[in-house]
Formats: sequence, structure tokens, C-alpha cells
Amino acid sequence: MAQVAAGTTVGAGGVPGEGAQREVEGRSLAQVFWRRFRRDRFAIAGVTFIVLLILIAVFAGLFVTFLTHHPPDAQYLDIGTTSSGIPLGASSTFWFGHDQLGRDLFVRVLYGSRTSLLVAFVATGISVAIGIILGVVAGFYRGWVDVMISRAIDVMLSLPLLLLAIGLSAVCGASAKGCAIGPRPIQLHIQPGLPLVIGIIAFANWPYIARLIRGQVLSLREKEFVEAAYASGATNGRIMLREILPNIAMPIIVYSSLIIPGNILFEAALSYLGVGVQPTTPSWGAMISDATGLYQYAPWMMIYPGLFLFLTTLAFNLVGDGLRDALDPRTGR
Amino acid sequence: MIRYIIRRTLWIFLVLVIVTGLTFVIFYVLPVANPALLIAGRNPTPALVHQIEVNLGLNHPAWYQYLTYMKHLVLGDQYGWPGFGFSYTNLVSVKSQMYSRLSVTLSLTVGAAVLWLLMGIPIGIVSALRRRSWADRAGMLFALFGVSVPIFWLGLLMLYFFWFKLGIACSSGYAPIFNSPGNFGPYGLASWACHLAMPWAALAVGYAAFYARMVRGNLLETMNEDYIRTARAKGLPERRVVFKHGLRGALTPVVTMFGMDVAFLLGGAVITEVTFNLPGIGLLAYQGILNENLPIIQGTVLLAAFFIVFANLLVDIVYAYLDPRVRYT
Repeated sequence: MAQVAAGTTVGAGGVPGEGAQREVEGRSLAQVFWRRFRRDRFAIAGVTFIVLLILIAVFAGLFVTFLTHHPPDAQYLDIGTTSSGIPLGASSTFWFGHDQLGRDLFVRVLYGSRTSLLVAFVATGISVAIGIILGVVAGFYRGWVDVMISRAIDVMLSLPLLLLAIGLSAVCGASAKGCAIGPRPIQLHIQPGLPLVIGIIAFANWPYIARLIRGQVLSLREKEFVEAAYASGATNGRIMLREILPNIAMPIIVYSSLIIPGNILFEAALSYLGVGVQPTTPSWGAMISDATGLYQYAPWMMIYPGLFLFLTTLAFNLVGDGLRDALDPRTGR
Repeated sequence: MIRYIIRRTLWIFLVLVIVTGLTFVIFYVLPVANPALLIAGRNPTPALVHQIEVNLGLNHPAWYQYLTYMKHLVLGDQYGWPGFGFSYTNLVSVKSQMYSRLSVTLSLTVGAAVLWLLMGIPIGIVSALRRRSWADRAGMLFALFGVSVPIFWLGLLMLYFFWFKLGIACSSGYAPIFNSPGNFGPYGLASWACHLAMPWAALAVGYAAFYARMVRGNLLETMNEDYIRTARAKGLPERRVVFKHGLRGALTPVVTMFGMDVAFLLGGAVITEVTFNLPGIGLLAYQGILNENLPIIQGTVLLAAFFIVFANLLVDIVYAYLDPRVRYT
């Protein structure tokens, strides 16, 4: 697609009228996509929710300053818990009630959106980047490079990744120093907490993306426009970046949006199991974990964080489905 | 075909060796804490720590421990073949612990699998055949809920409402069918099923949603194929067109997915088992990881990996029978 557009601008350089007309056509593809996406009420609802959530995450501090006056880590043990340590429910100043340390659950749920959104975008971004690089290289060069990368993907897909992820975050989170990977001089120190969780999720996801992209590149590299680029003297790197990558951009975008909800749930599950983010970092999964022993007496401790988690994954699922349907007319609702 | 199976079997062994190596690196090379210190209790004397290290074989270098583990795995140890060693915390053989907990994970997985097939496939079929009807919309709304809801939250909500508030469901925990000599038969079966009902439902919802979406999408695509038009053209009743010709093409990918999903859960449905306090493989692995109980971790990770690679092979062979176009060399 991108190649066609670039070719016409070069070819139509002397005829401005024709060039302008082509440009309108090129834009109309995006317009078709946008029109189809905009008509999808579910997808628009998802986008709206995500935008609101991003605003909440960015301006969570303002809620504290102007609305609740309860910092996320402040403990109100005297007014928030009974003498036997059971947290108290919602009141006029604590809208979602208290947690086991008397903290304001409403404020913590707001701050928890930061963790989930960071994981949603950063972990997905990293795994997509790794997947693109390895997938394009494997599909483009074929031969022993492809064999090596494909075998690595096969091994990764045979691993019980959830267990290994729990293990990795458990051993690296066991002490504040974290853990070290690699031989002495070039050791990589992994600190426990959110960066480690993001790294683990990115590591667990790249094989799926790499496999998808490799398949696409294998067929694209045989196409005429790649041959034409060769003939005009383009280097391998240029062909991969300028010819092949734009042509797989759409499936990459759709696939990335479809794995985001899974990644959000992955972080929440790790935090729920107690091997995710470090304590005091607000995370919806960790809040539900805090509630496991108390949910009979303080159900709000799990209901509100879980509701936000559910609505967030739902919103990302709606957007992902909407993108997929808008780009692929065969899969209508 | 035979050569293909042999090659794939060799690949299984290679993957399992890589898995043990990787697990060893993660759990032996990375941690800063000494497992012997965890066992020794508070304020241990250096002599006691050293004695525990010798007992567990921790005084040897990492490569020696790894080779010893592999030797026991291949040739067997004092608990027979395959040798998984003994747990650091209670000094009981890992193999017997995994064996006793496999029945829990098996009960959970098989029950949930039956449930999600019974829910997912009919919803998918109806949604595809009655596209844009209210049934399709309701089915896809359920599917959307299923793929989005966090299983541990759903589990806690079910426990809160059905067990604590309404009192119509059994609590968390596991009740074996044959719990005591005089207590099997209908009563044992009932309490077993009662305790597993909510875990089954919670685990099945997500998978049922995925299967419903997948069956719907596949069937919509299959029903547009030329051979469906041919089947209709030669006058077959619509029921036969759908069930004999349409579903065959639409359900073949589901078989692959089903095999992999079941294998993955048999290796330990960690989140469900933790939420409902079911003493299965997943809970064993989870506790092993939290206690840095290396033999338990090695054993459970290896078992999980074995289920995955074995199911992979099985699924590929079955696929060749279901889809005549697939040939292996």
C-alpha cells in the first residue's frame, strides 16, 4: 500500500493534477477505515472509557488535592478500621470504603489505573518491538537465522510461561537488591517491582507476535515490489524498513490491540498471586489479593478494584475487536 | 508418518532438557537467598546450615547439582523412576506429592473442559447460523464478558454471593470422592462435585467465551465455501449441510486449541487453584515457588512442560486424520 503511494508520487511528479487525485484516493482508505470504526458504537464506547481512564491516571493527584484530600498511602487506621482490624465501608469522605490498613480505597483504585495502563502500553510495546525485529529478520533472511529464531519460538511456546513468570518475579522480588543475570563483568541487575513485571510480560508475549510476522514476511518478500526495490539497488535494511514494514503495519496494530487486555490481566494475576508489583504500589490485582482473607466482611475491597479491572479489559477488548472488524470487512459483527 | 513421530519425540526430549536447564538457571543461579537458611529456622548456627546444605546436596557447584538432577531423572533415584528428588520443606518425595495432587487438577480441568465445550460450541454455532439475531447478540455479549473478566475476581465474587451470602454453594477447598473408607458413593461424589462446581464455572467462562467466538468466526467463513454451496445444490437438508459439512471444517481448529488448553491446565491451573484453595499441581507449584523449594518447582515445571509438548504432538497427529489435506513427512 505504502509502496504504491510512494511509486505514484515519483511517477506523477510532472503531472500535479494526477498526483493530487491519487493522494485523495490514498487518504480515502483511511477514511473508509475511520468511517467503519466510527459506526461501531461498542468500539467508540471502549475508546471513550480508555481516554477517561488515561485522564484519571494522569490527574490522579488532582483528585487527591481537590476532592478527597487522602493520599494513596495514608493510613486511617483509627477512623477506617474497627478495633478488631476489620476495615469500614463507604462513607461520605471515603467513597469506596477503606482497605485493611485503613487507606482510602477510592484513591488507591484511581492510582491503580496507572499500573494497568503502563503495563498495557509499555509491555505490549516492548513485546511487539521484539516480535517485529525477530519476525522480520527470520522471515526475510530465512536459512539458518530463520531456523534459530523459529526453534526459539517453538521452545518458548512449549514452556509453562505462567509458572516461569511467577518464579522469575518471586526470586527477583524476594530481596530488595533484586537479582543478577549474566556473568560477572556484564551483569544485568533486575530490580523487583513494576519494571520486572513489564519485562516478564513482554518476554512472555514476543513469540506469538514474531511467529505471526514471520509468516507475513515470508510471503511478502516474494512480491514484485520487493523485487523492484532490489533491482533499484535498495539494501536489505532499506527493504525491511521501507518496503516490508509498512505492509505489515495494519496486522501489527490489530494484533497489538488484541493482546493488550491479556497483558493487563497478566499483571493483575501476578500481583494477585503476590509476585507482581511491590507493596504500597497501587495495583488492582494486588488490591484483590489483599481482599482474599477479608472479602466476607469487606467485599468492597475486591468489588471495586475488580470492577475497574474488568471494565478496562472490556474496553480494550471492544477497541481491539473494532479495529479488527474495521480493517477486515469479512469479520462483521 | 512414523519418521515424523520419531523426530517429534526427539524434539520433545530436547525441549524438556532445555526446560530443566532454564528452570535451574532461574531458581538456582538467580536467587540471593540460600534455601538452607529458609529451612534452618530463626538464628541458625553456621554448622546447622552447613549440615542442611550437605543433606540437600547444596554444597556442590551448580553444574554438579544439575547433572545429578538429570541423572536421577533419567535413571531414577531412591523413590524409583523418574527421580524427581524430595521436597526441601517436608522431605517427602516430589513424585508422590505430584501424583496425589494430580487427581485434583484432573478433576478441575476435565469438569471445566466439559462445561466450556458444552457452552462455547453451541453458542458459537447458533451465533453463526442466526447472525444478527437476539441469540447472536446475547451469545457475543456473554463472550465479551468471558474474555474480559479476571478469573480470580469472578471466583471471589462467586464465593461471596453463592457461598457466603446465599449459602447455596459449597465453600472453597477440595473434597475427594473417596475421602474415607465408609464415605464414598453418592455422598462423596456429591460433595466432590459441590466443591468443584464454582471452580469449574469460573474456569470455564473464559474458555467458553473464546471457543464461542472462534466457532462463530470459523463457521461463518466455512458456510461461504464452495463445497457448502455444492452440498446445498445437491439437495441435502440444511441440518445435514451444517452438521456434516460445515462443522467439520469449522471445528477442526477447535480440536487443536482444545488439546493445548487442556494440556496447559493439567500442568496446573494456578490462579483458579489459588482462588478456590484447591490443592492441585498449580497450588503445589505456587507454594514451591514462594518457598524456593527447588525440587518441587523443577518437578512441576517439568510436568507442565511435558503436558504441553506431548499435547502438541498428539494434536498434530489428530489433525492429520481430521484434515486429509495435511500430510507430514
